[in-house]
Amino acid sequence: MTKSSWNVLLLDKKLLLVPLLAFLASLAVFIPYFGIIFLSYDMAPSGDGSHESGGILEYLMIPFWLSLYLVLGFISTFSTAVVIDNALKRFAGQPHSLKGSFRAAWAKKGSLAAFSVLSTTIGLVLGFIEERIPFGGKVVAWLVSASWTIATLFAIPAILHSKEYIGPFDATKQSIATIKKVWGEGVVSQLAISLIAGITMITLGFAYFAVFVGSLIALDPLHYTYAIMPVTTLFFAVLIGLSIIFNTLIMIARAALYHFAVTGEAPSTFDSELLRSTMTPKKARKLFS
Amino acid sequence: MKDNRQSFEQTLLQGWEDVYRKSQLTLWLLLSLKEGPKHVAQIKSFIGDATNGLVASDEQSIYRALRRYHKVELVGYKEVPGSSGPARKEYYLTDVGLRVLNSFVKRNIIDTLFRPDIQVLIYKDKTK
Repeated sequence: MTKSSWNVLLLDKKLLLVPLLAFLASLAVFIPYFGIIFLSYDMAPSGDGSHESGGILEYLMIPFWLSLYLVLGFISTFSTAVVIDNALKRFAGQPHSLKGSFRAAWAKKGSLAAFSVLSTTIGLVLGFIEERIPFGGKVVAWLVSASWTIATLFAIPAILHSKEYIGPFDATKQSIATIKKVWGEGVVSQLAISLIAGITMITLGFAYFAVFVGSLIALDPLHYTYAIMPVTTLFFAVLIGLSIIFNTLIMIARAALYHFAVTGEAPSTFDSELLRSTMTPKKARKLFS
Repeated sequence: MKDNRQSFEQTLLQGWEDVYRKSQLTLWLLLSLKEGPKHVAQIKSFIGDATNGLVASDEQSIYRALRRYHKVELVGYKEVPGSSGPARKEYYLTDVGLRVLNSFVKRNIIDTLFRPDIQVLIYKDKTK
């Protein structure tokens, strides 16, 4: 499954545009929201040095924040649906294009929005539990979050697959039924990609930290500032790039598992297609020498 | 003197044939499969026979070549139960392999060496 996912990504690098666009769209939504919130708070410090904010305003902000979470949640769900649709069509040997997948996901916007509302609400409730209930709150939140993530692994493919509107609870039920078919394979492949992603990010973090500390020791403050700024920019750019790649890979792997669960056939690894598209005269010469 | 000349020419011929034969394995291997699916031992036997023993290849070289060609879908294989012993791989030429082989043979042998004027030249044993 993981190999299929890598090959699909190598053949369809355009898929990386989807999470990138989602990230930019989220930023475009978040910035004005944040600006409004920042301006609406009274930032004048009080006598004890704390910042005061209007009490009533805090409660009025709740629907405001909620709407932000819901919009961001929908953007994430929608972009996942686009990638999964594209991958599913490829695995089924159907014609596929990014434009077509955007259209297919948009056609299911009702179901996707409903699912996104449910997911976001659960996320917020878990966050509330984690913060407000001492000791056990974190454990409960983590357990429920992990269970919810696994239970809804195939909810989006189920929504895309259904011909009619499907509510979030029905989508989750179908997802659970599908998971039972691919339990072992599903969890392992998702974990494998997440593990590789985690190790890569941590290694990158260590490398950045080493450069950061090294520069601090070796350079004077002025040169340090000039040196660390481009390095920091590069670090975050690489981090974002890797997040996009691994995120896309996980979505494709999810589509591959769903395809396997529904059809009983493992998606072809696309080795053949990849081989043909990457054959060069130099490689061909080496083959026959 | 004559012995020296013959020895020299033989050495030249040997050197040329060594280089020439090294590049011949692909052609003879694919031709052997064009005749029909074969095990490695049968491929080796066909090549030795068809080239009068001049292109001699060990089974390891043939296996290595078949692995490379299998990767690029020139050849395929299926496991065939052995009459006595474990299942053996029987290799066959794929559609891709057949088209590539036919194109190679036409461009590099039929359209060149089989040309009537070149045939006349080949069979002539004197220069002008």
